Order: sequence, then structure tokens, then C-alpha cells
Amino acid sequence: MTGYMTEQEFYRYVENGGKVDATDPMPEAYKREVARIMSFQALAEIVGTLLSAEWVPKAPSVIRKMMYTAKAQDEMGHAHILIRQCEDIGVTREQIIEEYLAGKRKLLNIFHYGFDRYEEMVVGMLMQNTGAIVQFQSLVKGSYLPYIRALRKIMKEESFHYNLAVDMVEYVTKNGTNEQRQIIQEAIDTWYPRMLAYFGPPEKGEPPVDALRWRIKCDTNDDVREAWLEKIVPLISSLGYTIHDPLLKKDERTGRWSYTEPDWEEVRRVINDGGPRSAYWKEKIRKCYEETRWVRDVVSRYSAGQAAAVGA
Amino acid sequence: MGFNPAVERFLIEWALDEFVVGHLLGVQTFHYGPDLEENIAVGSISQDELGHARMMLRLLAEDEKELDRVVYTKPPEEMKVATLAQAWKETDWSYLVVKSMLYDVADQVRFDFFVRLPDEKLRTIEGMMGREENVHREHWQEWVDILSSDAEGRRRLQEALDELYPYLADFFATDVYEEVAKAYGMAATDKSSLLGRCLQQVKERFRPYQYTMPLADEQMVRLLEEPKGRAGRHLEVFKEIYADIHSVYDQHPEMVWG
Amino acid sequence: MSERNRLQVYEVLVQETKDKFPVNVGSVRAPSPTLALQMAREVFARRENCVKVMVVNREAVHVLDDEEYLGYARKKVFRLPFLREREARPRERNGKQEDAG
Repeated sequence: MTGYMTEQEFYRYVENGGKVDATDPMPEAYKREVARIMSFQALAEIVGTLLSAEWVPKAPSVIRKMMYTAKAQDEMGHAHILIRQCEDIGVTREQIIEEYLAGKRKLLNIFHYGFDRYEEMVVGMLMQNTGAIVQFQSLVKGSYLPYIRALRKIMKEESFHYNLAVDMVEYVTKNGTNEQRQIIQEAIDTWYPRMLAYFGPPEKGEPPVDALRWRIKCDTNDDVREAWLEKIVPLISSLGYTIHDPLLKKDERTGRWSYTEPDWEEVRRVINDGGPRSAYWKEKIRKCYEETRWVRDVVSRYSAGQAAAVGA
Repeated sequence: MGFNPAVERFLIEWALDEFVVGHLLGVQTFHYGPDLEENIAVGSISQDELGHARMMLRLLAEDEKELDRVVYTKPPEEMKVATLAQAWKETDWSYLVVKSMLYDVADQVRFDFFVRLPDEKLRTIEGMMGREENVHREHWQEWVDILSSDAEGRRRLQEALDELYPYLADFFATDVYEEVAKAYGMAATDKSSLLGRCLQQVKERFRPYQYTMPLADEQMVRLLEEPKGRAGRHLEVFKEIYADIHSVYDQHPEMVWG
Repeated sequence: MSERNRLQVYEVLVQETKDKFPVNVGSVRAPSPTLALQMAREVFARRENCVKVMVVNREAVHVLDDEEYLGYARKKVFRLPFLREREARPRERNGKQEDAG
């Protein structure tokens, strides 16, 4: 519906809740911002998969192994559907991966860490999954239709993952040893501040960034963080564990949460200079990507024949 | 649960093969490439294979934990996993394509043997397994076809074939077929005829692209007397595979993980 | 890069049940139609049952997506069962009032 709009009219249109499809004319800046956000999330899915995938081969039962493989496969699927939307507006998966390998793309703080124990992964999945859910619930209200369609598919699977994550914590809690329950509590202590930081620095009182004005993002970092706390605080306590944050409290009158601010200096350092596993994940992706390059080249030559077959 | 020991051994050998194949394809799922769509497709094949292992073990085990014990409590030498099933080179796509193609063809020969067994209890698992394996063979055959369209692809496939083809002998180097046939009072099934049928099918699949099989059929038959994985003598890489599979399980062997 | 641009994109259609038409659900990049079908199934139909999966090479799809022109349908009020009487009622769409013509 954006065919005859000037750039100004376009922005007024999206600011008022108008929706945009991949085939619609759109200003370059809007297209760049949409591609930036979708490819950022796609890369997060690819790297994020590695965190749990490291533990899939070690899963201690046949059925759990199948469940985790299915879960991590879903995440590759999320990367795929986002990347296809990027490719439709000119940003290829090769570009995304190569820019990441060249150090030109940043990752959110949580993707710079790994899990040292199986029980830690169980908690990590729960924390990350709840974070993803509130984030997607916000993003799906946005203006760019291909992103919305992709998010709808992703959210359906995230709800499977949520149930899987809760179920795993319950099983380890119920059938595990005291030591295992201790690891779960420690993992909550470790991942809670990381997750608070995951939603990004406070935006309250700041002028809205482009993505917010153009409704590619719909809520401030602060509001999404609040939505997560609203979800995770009762969940953790219902599972029998504690969030150790002395400032954590909900103001019943305003409905807002107070919490201990993450160490933003440290978060920035991790994002810019890397955390404990950053180099390891990157090296893993580099090796896989480089060593299968020849296959993509063969396929590409082969595909020329496929293209000729349809008269392209 | 009411199976002759030979049939039980047959199902366990088969399940462990499928488990290890599924395990390795699971690892491949999260190794980016050759392309994202392929990662997702491989993820499904991995889950299919693990599912087949689980279906077979469910015929033998009362519950999930008992089923897990079959997989997770054997020392390496008692894991009679076919060498072909454990063959693995990280990020080597041509190696994985050839391994999977060979394994799936050999597995089809085993499956054909299985469906002829006169036992109602076994019938419950074959429908879904058969259909899924057809898709897997189509999948790997398509990759053989694509890679064979190119000189570099052909060179790499031939290299993988040279290394992996001899492992087909080990796949059938087990007395379990004869014992199972005897248990059901069927005509004797000797392993060399099963191997012969398998080699025939492999050659049919690779012949159109002019690949050379590194060993003649007679040499392959002689290799039947030198079982490797089937006798618990494993490839070097199996150490790593075994360690991965066991790392968490062994910390709490009695725990029910759900 | 020019080499890689030759990789083919296939549009994917999934028919959920026999009483529905197939619907375009997304796309895959695949080396061949056979693999495109397998990938389509695994990407878009692995978690839910369906009765048919189809792929079409995007290059073979002819597209009409002129929204202005396609949006005229509502203006052909003579095709509506209630004819002219209620034609002028504006409809809500995308949070904006749309001219019903």
C-alpha cells in the first residue's frame, strides 16, 4: 500500500501502524533497518544454537537426545526463515556469516558465553527461551510484514521450547541430587543478570531510535525487560528456586519492577571484546563455513542448469 | 520381552547402529553448512534414526530407563556398532554423503531381511521406518548426483568411497542373521549373500557416474572374516563418540532424566 | 558472489487438509527440485501434518502485485449482493480508513 507515497508519507504511515510488505516500495533507510534487525536475530539464532548444541550429543537419554535435536533444529529453522526474509531484500546469508567472521557484526551478550554443565544448559534454555518469547511478542506487532510472518512461525515453536525447558528443570529438580539442584540455583544466579542485560541498555527518557519510530521494534528495551521479569520471577519461584537480587521488587501501584542494574560497562566490554566462548563459537562457524564452501560452489554451478531448465 | 536371544541381539545391534548414525547426524545438524536448509533436513534424518533405535529398543524394554540402559551402560567393546555407522570426519561433506548412502543401502538389505521374519510383534515398527528410509536414500542419492556433476565433487566422492566401501563387509560380518533365521525356522541366511546383495545395489547407485569400487566382491567376502566394529574393535574416532555419549549419563547412571 | 547468485529459490506451498487449497508458506534455497521438496517438508511441515507439499522455482512464477489495481475489487459495488445502498461505508484497514470509492 505504499506505492505512491513520498518518503515522509511512508514514515507517517508506518508510525501510525501501517504495514509494509517486501514487494512494496520503501525508503532505503527503512529497508536497511529492517534487514539489520532481522539479520541480527538470524545470526543470534545460528550462534545461539551452538550453546545448546554442544550438549545435544551428551544428552543422557535417548528421548531427551531426540527432544534437544528437535529443539536445536527449530532454532536453525528460525535462522533460516529470517535469513530468507533478508535475502528477499538483498542481504544474503553469505554476507551475514562473512561479516560476522570478519568481526563486522556484533552479538548480544548472552551469545558470548557457554554452559559448563548439563544442568546449567537446562536453566540457560529456560532463561533464554522466556526472554525470546517476550521479545517476539513485542516484535510481532511491528510494521514489516515478512518479519511478522516469520515471527509467527517462530513463536509457535518457542512455546514448545518453553514447555520443554520447564519440564527439564522439573525433572532434574525432582529426580536429581542435591548437588544438581545446587547447580540449577547457581545457574539461575549466573544467568539472571546476563538476561537482564540481554534486553539492552535503558531507553527511558531517550529520544526513540529509528527502529522504534518506524515500528520495526514496538517497545523500549525497558518495557520488554519488564515483561520478562513479569514472566520469569513467578516461574522461578514456582519451580522452587530463588532469584537472588536484593532490589528485585514489583511496585504494586505502578506495576513496574525494580531490580539491580546489570554492570553495563562489563556488558559493553563483552559485546565489543568478547566473552569466554566468543572466539570458540566463531572458530567453529568459520571452520564449518569454510570447509563446506566447495559444496556451495558445486551446487551453484549445478544450479545454473536448474535455472536453464525453467527458462530463467 | 518374549524374544529369542538371537532376535534380541539382532535388534540391539541394529538399534545401536541407528543410534550412533543419528548421534553423528545430530552433530552435523549444528555445523553450519553446506547450507541452512540442509542443516534442517539433516536434523530430521538424525531424529528419524534415533527414533528407529528407540522403536526397536521399546520392543525389548519396559520403560525409558531400561531402554536407555541398553544404549548407555555397555563398555565400548560390547557396543557392536558397525564401522560404517561410526565413520565420521567433522565438516567433510563428501565423506558424510558417501557414508550415509552406503549405510542406508546396507540398512535396506537388513530391513528386507527383517520384514520377512514371521513375527507379529515386529510388524508394528516397520511401516514408518521403511517410508522414512526411502526418503533418506533419495536424499543422499540426490547429493551423490549433484556432487558428481563436477570434477572436484567426483574426486572427493571417489576418495571417500575408497575409504568407506570396505566397511560394508564389516556391516554384515555378524552371525546374527543366521541365528535369527534359525530361531524362526527359516531357510539359512548366510552373510555373504546379504553382502553380495548390498554390493550389487551400491554399484547400481554409483555406476552411472563411473566410480571405481576399491575392492572386488571376492575380496569383500574375505573381509567378512575380519569384523571390526561388529566385533567391538572400533575406529579411533569412536573413542570421542563414546565419550560424548557417556559424559553426562555416567555422572548419574541411576537417574531418570525423563 | 556471482557464482552463488545462481542458487535457486523455490516457493513452498503446503496443503494442510484435503478440504483446503494449498497455501504459500515461505521459500527455500535448494540445489534441486527433489531436495527443495525434502527441505520444504522439513522446514515448513515437520511439526504438523499436511497432505501435500509443493515447490515452484521462483523464476517460474508470474506475479501480479499491483496493490492499487488489486484493491479496486471493493469498488466494484455492482458485484456485491446488496448493490448500491451500503456501498459508501468506509472500512477499517491497517488502522487507517480506506476509501471505499
